[in-house]
Amino acid sequence: MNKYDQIDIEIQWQRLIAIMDEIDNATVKSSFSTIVGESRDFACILVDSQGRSLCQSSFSPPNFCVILPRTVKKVLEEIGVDNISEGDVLVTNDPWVGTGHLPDHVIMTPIFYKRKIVAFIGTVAHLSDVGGHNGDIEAEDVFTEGIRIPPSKLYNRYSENEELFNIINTNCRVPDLVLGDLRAIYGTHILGISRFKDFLNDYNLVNIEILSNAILDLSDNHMKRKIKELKNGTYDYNLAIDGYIEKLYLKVSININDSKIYIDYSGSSKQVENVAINCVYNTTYASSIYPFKCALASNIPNNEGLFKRIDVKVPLGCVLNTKFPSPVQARAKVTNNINQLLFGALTDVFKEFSQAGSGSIWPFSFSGTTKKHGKFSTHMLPHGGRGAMSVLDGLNPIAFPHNSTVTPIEIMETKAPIMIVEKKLIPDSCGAGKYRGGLGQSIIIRNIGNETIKARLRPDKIFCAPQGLNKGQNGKVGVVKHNQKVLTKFPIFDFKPSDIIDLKLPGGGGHGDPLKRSRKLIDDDFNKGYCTKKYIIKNYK
Amino acid sequence: MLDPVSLEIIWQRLISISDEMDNSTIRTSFSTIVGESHDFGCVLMDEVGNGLSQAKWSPPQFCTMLPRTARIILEKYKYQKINDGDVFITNDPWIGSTHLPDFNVISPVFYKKKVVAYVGTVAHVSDVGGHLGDLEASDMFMEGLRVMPNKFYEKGKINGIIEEFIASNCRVPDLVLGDLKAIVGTHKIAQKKIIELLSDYKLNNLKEVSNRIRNLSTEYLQKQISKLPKKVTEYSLKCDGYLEEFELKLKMFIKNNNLIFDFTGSSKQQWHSAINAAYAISYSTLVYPVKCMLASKIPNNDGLIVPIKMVAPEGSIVNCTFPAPVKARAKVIKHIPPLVFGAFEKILPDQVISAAGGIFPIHFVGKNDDLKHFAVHMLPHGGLGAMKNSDGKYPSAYPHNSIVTPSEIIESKCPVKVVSKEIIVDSCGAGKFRGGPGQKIVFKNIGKNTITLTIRPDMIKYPASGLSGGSDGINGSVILNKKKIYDFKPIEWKSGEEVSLIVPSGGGYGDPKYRSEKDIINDLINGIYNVETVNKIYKKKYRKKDIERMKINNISSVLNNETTI
Repeated sequence: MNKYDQIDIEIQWQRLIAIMDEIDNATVKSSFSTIVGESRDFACILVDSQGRSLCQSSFSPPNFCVILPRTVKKVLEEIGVDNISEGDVLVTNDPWVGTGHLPDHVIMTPIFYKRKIVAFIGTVAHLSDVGGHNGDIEAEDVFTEGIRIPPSKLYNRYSENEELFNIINTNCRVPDLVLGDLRAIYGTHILGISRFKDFLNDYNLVNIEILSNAILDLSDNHMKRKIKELKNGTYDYNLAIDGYIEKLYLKVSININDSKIYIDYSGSSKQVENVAINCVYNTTYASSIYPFKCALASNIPNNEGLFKRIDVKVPLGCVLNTKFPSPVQARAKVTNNINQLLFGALTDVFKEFSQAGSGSIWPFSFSGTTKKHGKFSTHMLPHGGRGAMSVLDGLNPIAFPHNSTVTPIEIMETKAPIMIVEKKLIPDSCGAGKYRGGLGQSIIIRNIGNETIKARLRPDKIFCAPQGLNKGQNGKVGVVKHNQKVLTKFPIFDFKPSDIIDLKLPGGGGHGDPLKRSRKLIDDDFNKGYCTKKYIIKNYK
Repeated sequence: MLDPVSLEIIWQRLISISDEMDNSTIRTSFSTIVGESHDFGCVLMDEVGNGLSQAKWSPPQFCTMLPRTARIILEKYKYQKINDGDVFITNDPWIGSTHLPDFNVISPVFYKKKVVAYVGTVAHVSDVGGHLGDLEASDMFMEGLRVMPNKFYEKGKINGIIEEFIASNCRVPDLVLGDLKAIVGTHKIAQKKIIELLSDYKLNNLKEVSNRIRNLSTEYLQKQISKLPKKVTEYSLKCDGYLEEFELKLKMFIKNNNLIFDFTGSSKQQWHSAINAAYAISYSTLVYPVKCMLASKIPNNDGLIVPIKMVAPEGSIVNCTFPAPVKARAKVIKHIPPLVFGAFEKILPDQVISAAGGIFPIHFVGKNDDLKHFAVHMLPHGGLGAMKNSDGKYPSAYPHNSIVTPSEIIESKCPVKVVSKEIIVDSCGAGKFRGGPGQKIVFKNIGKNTITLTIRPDMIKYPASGLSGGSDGINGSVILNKKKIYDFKPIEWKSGEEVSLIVPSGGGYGDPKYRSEKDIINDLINGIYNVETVNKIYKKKYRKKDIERMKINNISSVLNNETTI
């Protein structure tokens, strides 16, 4: 079959997505760790033989789909396409090659069909441990943060690369979880390969070049049309963000010129020393694409065709394009704000698709060794409220712009000696507006064991509130208390028996003039207990 | 059978082969810690991994540990073929030399297609990634990359995975891989020389040589042990530790001509400080003083360790379990020799040495003004302990190896100025024989950038103890911007700031009242003591101006002597 009609494309495209979804499900079912199995901090992506991303599983976070093509191209360049055989699996966690911090392992498996590489299946997964210090935000350099695996073969013709497995096994604290997840992912790729071959057989294809070009062209054409509809011009915006101890300033200048968009971050703060919040180019690039994808092509499944027309320029040495070997572990503290910066700049251009600032994600983990639980390391990724849009209230705590679901209380409590005393929405924490932001949440956790365990927390927006747009109010800033004491620095700390940690995650920013909020919505907020009378009187008169 | 003369010649030749490895290591190494501080050891082993000889410069601990490491590796490769050109490598603390920076590199020597020997080097490499801290760690994973026993080279070809893995996980890959490859080069020299030796003597292997060397050594040591009084002796020491003090307890007794050292009752391993010693380093540090007392003239080899046994409960600070943090284990093991001497004081008083002032490792990491990375070590020492018939030496390495990186090297490799480096007056532990004085070193950051400074001092709380009535040495301290500091996390050392190290002195031996007039006067002339101090400690009544006159006379007599020559 050489010619594709619309229906063929749609069916085959959806089938590819379904294959990725199957891999995604298999990953959840066969993984060993909470961060993969419960928090879903991973993505499954299909990349064509030229390294262009074609589709991803529906649950996957969008940024990895943007990054993976860059990683695949770089890895192929390092290892050499000629050195790759059927049954090989490639891996790296190098932040500058992959997704910007060491825990994210990129696992890539070439699919061979009739002795030729026809595609790659890629999984990006945040694994439980990579050795290194126990801290998070405070680090001298990337070497402090753990083991770096340069682009290597994880499997050699279907057999494990023993040396590499050994290295990983002997350099992380929970090798059962890490190797378990890696092997599980390998299994899902084998499954994916067989599904992909079925697919080729069903349609009598020897490769997917034509399909791939069709998907990418369709997407690109759509983007071209959408960008042309936008008003040409240069849009600047500045944003202060929490940083760590010292605030940082992000600066953007967006130039929309006919069918291309140029984003330039010149003038943003320099990379920071001894603080692990620096972003590599890959993550900045991906985070910059996402708002455009949401605003301009929300119905089209992610693929590389959607982001060819967006050019991202960041000076080397800036916090958004950090140099090797600066520390990068907690780069989400910066990248999470990029959408806010772009939406701020393009509120008028994006119209109803612009979104106020969201309450951010507060990665949080406990680790230690206790009699009852053995050696454990458990993550939770709670979120704040989402920012409002010009036609919609922000959702209550939900991941944005990140992926990841929340580890259920029951899982946390069975894996670590803790009790979640409280987990509830915080009334009045939303930014008021014609549409208000989502509410923040309160989580209170107590150590109910007899042993001191380690706690690690990375809050955000405890200084700079999620911003409102178009006269919408800012959301409420977050607060962290450890035994009643407010914390502002976040090295890893001892969580002693009976200690209590109290997290107040920020609410989202509002959109539009609060005075224009409809009576019905205000009553609704009051009846549901989202807002108190005092708040309503103050903000909505 | 080899006659004694040939055996001695072959033995000496084995030692000189190790020496040649040692020399070539210095000449070809890339880093200051290997090239200048001499923190490495070269050992030659027989075909099953028994230690036969070591380079004269090699620290004795490495030579007890390395053959053990080799035997563990050989056990692992029992069912796999070992080829000419293979090189094994590991830095696992429980298999190797008990902290991550020490890389063990071991190569087989083939002769007539059979393995006849192994040559090995332990070297402290410049960086293994991990945190820049030293003492504060909660497990070994924070301390850097761990390479389990692997082939670093296979049939002469480098193992790309290990090479890349090391390169990607340390801050100064040029130095680390440079040193490791240099070591592999020195092994080639040793291999060649061993083959020459075998063909010179028409030997097919080293089996007989190995058995004779080791058996002779064991027999000699056992004979010495049999002469000792059969007493059970005990000794204990309280030590600084880092966040928490610890205590070492030792019970020593003789059984069937074996010396048994029992550490039961010593403190438990600590999970908040990286001072834990794994078995191999504790044992090898224990062996050395015993060897010095009972078999000082016999070159180190594995025969000498046979009659020395150690009992140490698992999980104690001298036999810590995986994955306890271990980087700064020297904080614990440096107290083992004084502990052993303390136990021997009652049965062999003439051979013991008082405690020494130890070692204050200091490490500068940062960027030059032109933003190039540097990582420079210095290992300054305190004064040594006194003995039955001699004063403790001036600052020098003990019980460690390592020489001091010269000021010139430090100043040329990083923007640090060594402002002063002097002996501390009045610092020695008094005694019939006094301890060696401590030293004071002042460094200044003369670059534009902040330098990360890691210092690992000791004996800030508990000084080096004297023996047989001798006094303790002075306590050590670290002074940053005129303030004493007690927290030794990595220090952000700003441009223009100064840091001073007071490295402690050694303990004295014997009651000070028996110190001879001549020795005291000599100390005064040499400026070891001030007059007031001498009068107080040694109960004398010297006058300052008399001493001044003596100093002048001394100088003029020296000058006169010179002119007569």
